[in-house]
Amino acid sequence: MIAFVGGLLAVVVLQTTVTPLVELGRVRPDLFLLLLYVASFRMSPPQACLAGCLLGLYQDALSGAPLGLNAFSLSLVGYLLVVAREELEEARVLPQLVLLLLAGLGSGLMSFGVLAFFGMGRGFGESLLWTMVPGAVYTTVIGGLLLCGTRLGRVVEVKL
Amino acid sequence: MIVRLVTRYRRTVVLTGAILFSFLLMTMEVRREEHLVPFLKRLLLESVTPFLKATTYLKQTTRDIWENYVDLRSVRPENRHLQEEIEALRSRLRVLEETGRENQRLRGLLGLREREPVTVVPAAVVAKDATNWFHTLLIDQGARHGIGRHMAVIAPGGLVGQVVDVSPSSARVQLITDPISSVGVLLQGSRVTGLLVGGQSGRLRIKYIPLRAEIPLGEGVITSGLGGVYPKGIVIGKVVAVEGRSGALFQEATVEPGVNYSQLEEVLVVTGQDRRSLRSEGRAE
Repeated sequence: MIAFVGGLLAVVVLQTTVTPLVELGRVRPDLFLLLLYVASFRMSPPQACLAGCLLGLYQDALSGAPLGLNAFSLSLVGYLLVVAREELEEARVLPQLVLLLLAGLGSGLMSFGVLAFFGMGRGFGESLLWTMVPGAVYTTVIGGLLLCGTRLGRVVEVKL
Repeated sequence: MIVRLVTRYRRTVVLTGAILFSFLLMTMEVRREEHLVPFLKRLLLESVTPFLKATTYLKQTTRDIWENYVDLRSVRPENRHLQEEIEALRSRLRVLEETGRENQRLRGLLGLREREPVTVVPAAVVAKDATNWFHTLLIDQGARHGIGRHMAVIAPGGLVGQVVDVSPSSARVQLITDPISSVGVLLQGSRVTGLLVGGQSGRLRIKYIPLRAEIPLGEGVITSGLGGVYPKGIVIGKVVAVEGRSGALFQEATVEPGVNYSQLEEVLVVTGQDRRSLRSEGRAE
């Protein structure tokens, strides 16, 4: 719990002050999704759902989004991540990264749908091209680097 | 019985609860509910604002120390260059002073009233938007410092946007590049008005330009004052492309902004211009 709150604070600061420095073509990695993805390794589906809801509420408060937009998509993504992971082998990197990519795309599609539902819709092509796909790919690349770094760290630790 | 049912279907209950809660919040926000949603937003924002302010302070201090060191190394040639620039600016100022006096005289002759003086509050940018869907900024000045909703925000390069949310110690600024932002604009040379809109890609476009209007590339774009949010005459940028599709009723122009929105660190919030005078100026156009 303490680790999760610490992670939340770190993500809030990093997402709003550091990721703008590494944005590519106005696209930044979604560290809120990344934290949910990492935290969901040790959570049950309801716990991941509530964690996603809390993360989403903070993300909404720190953006121009209506309160509840990201809370909705991240609570659903958190739940589905744990359910999908029950079917996956934790040791294999590639399926885990595919899962993260799908989570990013799913979250983007849900945000798009909800924005359209509440009359704040944007063009689908423009959103897909400029926001959903690049955002999901960038987040997956950062996630992949983190995952590989962690694995490498473990290998070095064992060898030492 | 109910407890047993909830325990048994815990997964479904939690998931449904979270989704319904989020949907309820969104519905309340869209319907401009004035109690729970603003309170929750303020609570969430105020709980992290001190950390964001501390990070910005740390970042600025580190940069200042580094820049002071770098500045010291190049101070002599820069000093010489600045002296030359001061001389050039002094002579330009003399010309402008003369023009100002002439303007005052002519305004008096025509019976036009003086423009209301604009008062501004400086603010530091403490956070950028946490998603890729919106283009907003969080500044370190809020209701306690006289900031209110729909106040225009400017920077040395021109218009930045408007305040859309205010908490006691911070405020959210919607950039003009935001997909749901729109600003009434005036093309400086041709005196044609249009509507400047943002987009998901961050590109600025002017819509509703009459087909017959001739817009040269590089023409300056300023706010028209229509709508009552933005004072008239704030620089936005220049026209870099004009498109007129066959069969369309209007032309569209692409604008290159004068402000680099990804590198904004300080802004000015326009707090003190009489809004009635802005609206009357808008109607007079």
